[in-house]
Amino acid sequence: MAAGAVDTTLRGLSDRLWTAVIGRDEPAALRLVAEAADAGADGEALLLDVVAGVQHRVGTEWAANRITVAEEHAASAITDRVIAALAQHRSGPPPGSPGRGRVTVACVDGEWHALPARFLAELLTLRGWQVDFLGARTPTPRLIAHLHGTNPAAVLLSVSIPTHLPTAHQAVTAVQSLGIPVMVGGAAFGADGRYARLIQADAWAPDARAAADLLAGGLTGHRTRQRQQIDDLPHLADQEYTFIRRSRAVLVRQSLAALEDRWPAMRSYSTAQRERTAEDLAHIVDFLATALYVDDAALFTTFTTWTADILTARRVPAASLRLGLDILADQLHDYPRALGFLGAARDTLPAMPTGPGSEVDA
Amino acid sequence: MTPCPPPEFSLAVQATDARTLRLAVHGCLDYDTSDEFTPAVAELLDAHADRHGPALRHLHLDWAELTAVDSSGLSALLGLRRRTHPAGITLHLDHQPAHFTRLLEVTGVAAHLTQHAQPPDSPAAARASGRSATAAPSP
Amino acid sequence: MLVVGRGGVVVGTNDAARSLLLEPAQENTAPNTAEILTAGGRMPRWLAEAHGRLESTGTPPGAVTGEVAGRTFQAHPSPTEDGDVVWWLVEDTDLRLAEQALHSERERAALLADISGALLSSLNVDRCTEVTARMAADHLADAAVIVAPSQGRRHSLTHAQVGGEVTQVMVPIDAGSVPGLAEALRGFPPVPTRWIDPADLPDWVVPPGFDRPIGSVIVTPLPGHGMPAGVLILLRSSTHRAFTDGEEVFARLFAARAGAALSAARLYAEQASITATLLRELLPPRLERVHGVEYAGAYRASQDHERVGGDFYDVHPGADPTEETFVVLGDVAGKGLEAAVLTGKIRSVLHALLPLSGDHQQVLGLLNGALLNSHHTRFATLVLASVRRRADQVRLRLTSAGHLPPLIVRADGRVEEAATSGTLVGALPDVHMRSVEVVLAPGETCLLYTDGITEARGGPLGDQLYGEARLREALRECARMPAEAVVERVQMLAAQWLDSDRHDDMATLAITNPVGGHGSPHVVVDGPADRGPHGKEL
Repeated sequence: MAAGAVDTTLRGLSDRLWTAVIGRDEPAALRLVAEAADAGADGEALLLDVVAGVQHRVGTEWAANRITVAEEHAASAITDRVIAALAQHRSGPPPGSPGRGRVTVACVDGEWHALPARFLAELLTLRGWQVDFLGARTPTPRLIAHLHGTNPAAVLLSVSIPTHLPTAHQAVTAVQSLGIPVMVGGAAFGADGRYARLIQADAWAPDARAAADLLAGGLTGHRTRQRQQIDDLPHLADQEYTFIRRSRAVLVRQSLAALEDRWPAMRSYSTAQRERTAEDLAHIVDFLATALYVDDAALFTTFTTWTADILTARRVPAASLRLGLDILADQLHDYPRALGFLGAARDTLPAMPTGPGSEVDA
Repeated sequence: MTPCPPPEFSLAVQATDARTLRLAVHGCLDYDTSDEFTPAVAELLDAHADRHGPALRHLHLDWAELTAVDSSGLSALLGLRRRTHPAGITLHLDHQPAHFTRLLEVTGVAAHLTQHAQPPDSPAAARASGRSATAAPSP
Repeated sequence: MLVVGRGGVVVGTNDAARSLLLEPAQENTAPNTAEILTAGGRMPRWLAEAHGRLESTGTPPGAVTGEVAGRTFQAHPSPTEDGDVVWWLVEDTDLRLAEQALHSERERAALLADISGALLSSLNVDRCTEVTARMAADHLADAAVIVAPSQGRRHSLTHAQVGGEVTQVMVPIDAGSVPGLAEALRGFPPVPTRWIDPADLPDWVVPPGFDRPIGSVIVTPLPGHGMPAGVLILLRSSTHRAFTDGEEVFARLFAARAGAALSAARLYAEQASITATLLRELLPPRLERVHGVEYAGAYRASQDHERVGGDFYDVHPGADPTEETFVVLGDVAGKGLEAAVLTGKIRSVLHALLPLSGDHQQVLGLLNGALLNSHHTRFATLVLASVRRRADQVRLRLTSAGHLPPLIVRADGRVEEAATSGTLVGALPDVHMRSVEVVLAPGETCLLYTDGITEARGGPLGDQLYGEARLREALRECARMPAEAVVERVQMLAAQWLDSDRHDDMATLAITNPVGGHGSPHVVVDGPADRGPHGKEL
């Protein structure tokens, strides 16, 4: 069969798998990949191009607010079983070069998106590595205890949501202090891996194949390095990150009250709507804190732009977000870096229209 | 368990006479504080017995200022009942916050905790406890 | 002091300079390479060159330093009016030796600090051994071998050489074949081992690929806590100078640190292995589909680094599809290992009572009797479920013993509370409970959970309970979801609600009648242990 024909088949398979996964038809999803594997489809292509491709589409649809979080969970659960079924299907030792070392794959604490790491773990298994997959949200002390017990050649950490970067930094530092090199990957590190360099990971890979290739080339870490996070990020000395992390609930409460005062539409909100607004504000504070941690205004602006789109989809005017940023700025007037980030993000958002038209149902 | 900041707990005597002791529970009765509850109540019961002899019949616990309670707190309360019931002291759980009522409801122990206690020298109490009354004779 | 004229001719010297510079010449007519012969006498080459530079540039070069007859001098030039230069020689031999000693002392201290840092950072025996071998080869010798205490008749050998890879092998060796090794392995003080004849060394000592002839050898024990952690053998090739006394002392210092680190790592490994063995029975089980019904559990201990606590669950599959599957989820008062031990007891009792599991009242009455204890009021709350599939329906009999009632998620998103209630077990002489029958249509789930979920404290405004109302609201979105997705979603929402590290144990168990019904082909979907998120603790 020509390569082009395989591609067409796999693309058709991707579409059918997407339909099954999003339709919560687990038996159909399992049957589709089993048939493809039986027909001799390439293991890596099936795993990464088809199954991971479908999961990527799930993530995109969720980010664009076209499917609910619950639907995303359901789809991910089915994908997870599909991966397990594929692993079961290729019973017997993996065909990859034998005698590769042992590695640990995990998501940092707080990170619930286990699938990117799971795909990587499966790929590395396919390529002959002995993989310990610790799964989603692995607390750093448990990761370290695991490393003391197993002494792997490398640790591969996955982070999808940028707000976990400070935790990732802590985990990377802790693993490196054992003398074990750490590769990081996932959407949180930026398309170019800039935050991976910032937190001094030993390597960064844009996707699972690149990670496997890098690992095959050998990963050399620093020999045991004793350092603390502040050594990498001297700007943390201004305490802005620390203050904002610690004051999250107070900031949200005050902002909610001020928002109610300055945005009449909110006064008719139900309890659930108010709680949702409070959650939105809490997210804003979390991302602001993370931007301060990595000292990058772009991280915050990217988030507020995305939030504005989501709010618009929820029929909440994006101008309310701008108002929210103004209110936060009022409370953070003593924090110049935070003010700078808030200002930069604010300037990308539309201003609040005046007049009676401003009251929009949420 | 309900971690409530700050994890503080205190007991205060609201009123007392020979037959009745009223205590107010303030703060949080949970995993971190329930170990303090038992000796604190025991001390007050001992002080009462020193002063009035074994005359106490009713122990009222006022929960109006309770911020949180969990299964460890409930365990401490069941331990208290083990001491008071055979001694003829009936427990009363006053001014329960909704979450406390819910906990008592779900666990099905409200009736047990507040079950009327026979005085220790009564024949009913001796039968109920399955052993003879050993408390000192009432004055 | 000596006076040097144009062209580097020594034109005058004082007595001290004469005795230093000129007297050896009387015994030794040919100047060595470090000296040059001038018309007025011998001169150290470094001084003659400094003089030449001074003449050619015309500017005073400042002081220069050099060696004369094994002593070091600083030479300070001062030009005279007639064009000669007076060189004042000031001896600084002692200062220099002291500085050199200090420098190497500092280097060794820094090296020891480095070594300690590298060794103490890992509690893995293999890694500690590898680091020790590599550092010993890099800093103390040309190659190093670490002989670990015997395991049976064999010893693990770790070889390292400068710039090479570290390798480990497990081989039977004769400890008597290297002088001092047997004693060192038993913790006796080392014999003066610098005098080991390299020719007597057995082959296994030499690292693979190390082809230079061995010149000198040190055997030193790695002292452990109470028992030796192994033995370090240092090798130097014959082209390298032999070990000095200072180096041997330093090797012992190094060995002391390495030995302490290795012992700590061994102790940790032993403890970790014991803990793992003891905890194995207490860990939550992995759940999977049984007789066409999905089961998924998730558990998060109150202490994030712990894996066990006061919550527990089990699924005991029916022997065949006509038999009921028996499910339990519960919570004992307390936290951590102490609570976990009690959960282990309860799980064992319930396992033993499986033949009676059809009668929830009887099971709970017997469990109550088994737990009743006059010394404490440690109790448990639990929910029992007996599950059986009938055509496309899943029938459950649910009984709560003082536990939060299960929540039923209907296919249309309605959330109902199962109407069962009862007394907790282990504290009261008698227990009473009311069971309820529930039917799940395809796409419906029954969720069993502990109060750690609803009592998660936090939220965007801080210090608020997650509560039953929010849980029910969240479950409305979980209609037609796979069981794994339901438990993961609930655990995620509760975890994200928390605003501090303080929380109770959180357990969730979902019993789901899958959307596809039981008619779907049975597919084994579980990977090896620890590979999938379902059934693993979260």
